[in-house]
Amino acid sequence: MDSSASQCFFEWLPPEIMCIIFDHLDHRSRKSASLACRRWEQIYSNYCTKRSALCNYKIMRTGLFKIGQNICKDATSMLKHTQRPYRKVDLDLCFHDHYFGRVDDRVTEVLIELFKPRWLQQLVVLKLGMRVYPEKFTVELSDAVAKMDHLQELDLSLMRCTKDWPLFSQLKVKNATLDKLKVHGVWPGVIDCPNLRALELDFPLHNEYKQYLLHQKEEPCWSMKQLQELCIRGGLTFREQEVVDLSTGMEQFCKPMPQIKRLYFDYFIVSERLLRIICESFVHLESLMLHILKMDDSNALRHLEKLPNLREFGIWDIAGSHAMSFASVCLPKLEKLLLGWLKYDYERMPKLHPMGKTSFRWRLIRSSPVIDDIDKSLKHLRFLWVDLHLINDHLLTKFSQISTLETLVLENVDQKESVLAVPFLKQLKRLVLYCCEDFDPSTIKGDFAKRVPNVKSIKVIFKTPSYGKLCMDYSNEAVQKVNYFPSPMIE
Amino acid sequence: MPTIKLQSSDGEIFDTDVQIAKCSGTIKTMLEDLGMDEGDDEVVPLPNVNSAILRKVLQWATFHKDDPIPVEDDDSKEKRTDDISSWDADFLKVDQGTLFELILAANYLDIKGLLDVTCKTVANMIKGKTPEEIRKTFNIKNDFTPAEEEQVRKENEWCEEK
Repeated sequence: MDSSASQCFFEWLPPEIMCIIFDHLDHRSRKSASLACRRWEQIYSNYCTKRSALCNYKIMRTGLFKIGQNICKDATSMLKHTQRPYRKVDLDLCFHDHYFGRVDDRVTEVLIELFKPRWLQQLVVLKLGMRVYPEKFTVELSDAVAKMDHLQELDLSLMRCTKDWPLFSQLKVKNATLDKLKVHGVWPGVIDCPNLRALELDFPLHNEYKQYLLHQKEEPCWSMKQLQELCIRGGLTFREQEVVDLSTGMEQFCKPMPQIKRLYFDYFIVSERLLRIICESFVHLESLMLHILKMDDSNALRHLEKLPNLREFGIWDIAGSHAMSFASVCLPKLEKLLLGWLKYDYERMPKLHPMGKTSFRWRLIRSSPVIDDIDKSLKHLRFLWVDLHLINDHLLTKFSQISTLETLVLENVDQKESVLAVPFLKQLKRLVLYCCEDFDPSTIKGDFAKRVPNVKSIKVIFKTPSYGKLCMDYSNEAVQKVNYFPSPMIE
Repeated sequence: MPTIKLQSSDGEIFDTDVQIAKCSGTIKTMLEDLGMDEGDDEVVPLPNVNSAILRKVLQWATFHKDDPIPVEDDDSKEKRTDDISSWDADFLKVDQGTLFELILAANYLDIKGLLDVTCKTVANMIKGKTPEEIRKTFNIKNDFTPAEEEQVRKENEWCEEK
């Protein structure tokens, strides 16, 4: 091959190798590369549609005062003119306008473009946020969703007005391929998707919801038999949740879908009574994540024993004056325990999504320590995530008794003392420290690493980007590599 | 130690340790599929790799012969480029032509480790650069019309990782 100085060697590379190179670039550099020449843009155009979305949220953020007219005009034009075969579209059409009628008109223009055959055929993931009178688009939206032949994920978000909620009850989500449905501020009248595995929705607190599940005692409006995963978000503030009794509603809600395997509660206070109902209804649960558990006594976890298949359990925080105890709870299959941040996905650790409203979560005031006796009952625990604010150092020292433990994640490692309380953990293979910005990395140099002799690489994730530069490779006998990541939350 | 003969596109024969040759998925499959036995005097032809590049590839494979087989572990999704070992970095201090030929050879011979590290090296040459700087680095001719370029810029504004 000729290798004269003026040649561009990239011409030799087939698209699939260009894609490997793109894999190793950050998003910004990839965009830069797409502007190099037509061929690169062509290859990138196919590449990016696998991992990126046609999306306007960055534009929304930079143009904070942009009025809806422009946002919608741009969205319409982009949907019309993009050369890239996007499969994911993420449009935020929430904006203020003094005249609602005008907003509706603008949104209509966007939706007309979005519902053209090209997009109906192409879309795999659709996220749509609107702040309009949603009844206006019910029919169009229902029709469009039914025609999307490749749709797997649908995320509908409507800024809602509490008084006339549930809005959008005329919405029908009928789709043959849909796998995951997220509805926020919306309560579809019909959900009929034979392949739906995951559903996320607000829990309605004031309304009669039985009608949606049981349609005049005949065909259910929601066919939920195939559902595996359910995420319930609190529709009210914590203060409101404190005064409303959710138990009866939840009992009715749980009944038609006993097959659920994964159940998550977000922004939701689960009372002990509610926990009992959950454990009695969803007996096949493998994974249960609670945002806040309100306990009447320290034995609230005994209800979990009704879940013989439970492999993952997590709590973000505990309300009430009692410390939570694992002492008398038998959970023979539990492998993963998360006591702290629940929006955790190890596979995607460096690429966690922005936390959104969850970043403003506050903890309830309580006496410490809140968790006691972790070691005795958890004989098969392989994975443990602990927010150090939830436990005391004494408990930390007991982790050495969990002989099966492979992965330990410590959240809020901001005080030197907490880290130093980590005992000798010969069994550990992976250690992640989730730190605040005050954390001094020199803490884990030297002796500390000897306590985890089988951990090859300690991962340190900081909550501010300023530490992103600290990508130092540093080794000692035990720890060959310490990886630093800038915060996944602040990007 | 058992060896086999590899023949480059320009006809040069390389007597190679079998274990090293088997770093290449392509050669490994060939040996297994063709039932070639060690000690056979048959020659494995590699029509897509010239002798200069094959020599480099074998040098790389020899140094890395004891590397563990790359496992798809938890970190597989996070593509770092700052973890190139100093030996590899030195090994890849070559002109662009050689670097790209190594990529093609690694791809053809199916040597994941080499393909990875060469692609990383190229990625590092792109990282942080403006489109104009990228063109300059790699002699890329800007064949966009101004209108097309503007369209791509607009596209990029609307393209976000999800």
